[in-house]
Amino acid sequence: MRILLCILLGVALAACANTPENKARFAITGLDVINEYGARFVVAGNRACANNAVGYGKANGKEAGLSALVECAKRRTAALAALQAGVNATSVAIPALDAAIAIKSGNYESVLLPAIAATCSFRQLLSDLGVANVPNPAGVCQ
Amino acid sequence: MTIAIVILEFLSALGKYLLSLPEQDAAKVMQSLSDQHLRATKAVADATTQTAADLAAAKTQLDEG
Repeated sequence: MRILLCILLGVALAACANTPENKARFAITGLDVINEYGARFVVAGNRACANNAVGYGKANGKEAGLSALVECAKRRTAALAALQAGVNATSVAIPALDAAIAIKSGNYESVLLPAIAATCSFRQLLSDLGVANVPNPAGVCQ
Repeated sequence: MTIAIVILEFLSALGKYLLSLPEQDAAKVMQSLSDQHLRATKAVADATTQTAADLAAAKTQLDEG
């Protein structure tokens, strides 16, 4: 009897943790993890780029260094824009998901799609810029 | 008879507890989601400020030769 109760309890707990609603919430949390860590990568990458530009300027003259710095600024603008788009999209997705859950729509993927697209696009941009090991919690970005 | 009632009461309490689990779980997941979103939002603001400062510092270094 005790074993049976334990099994039932275990099954119930597992079922509770994996509801579609919680899966959708976990997905948004995963996207925000990417955004948070991605922001740190942007800072580190920008700093490295700026330091390289200074070194390049010292070796090749001020104008060359300033040109390199302009390139850093362009990358920064692109990265921050992508990052901001990802965070904005999750900001929109959170209340939208709450509303979808409230009406028990069951169609949570469509609510998440814009946020997934924006954040995964940011993640891809980081990869393209040479950042390795950007987190991908629960494989939210395929 | 008394034992049967006790068992039924226990099962009833267990059932109520199990039924309340999804709500408890959802509340924890929601809290985690909110906390993480706040951290992400703050990280964006910090990154914006910090990267601007780093670029400005680099330009100053270049200007100073």
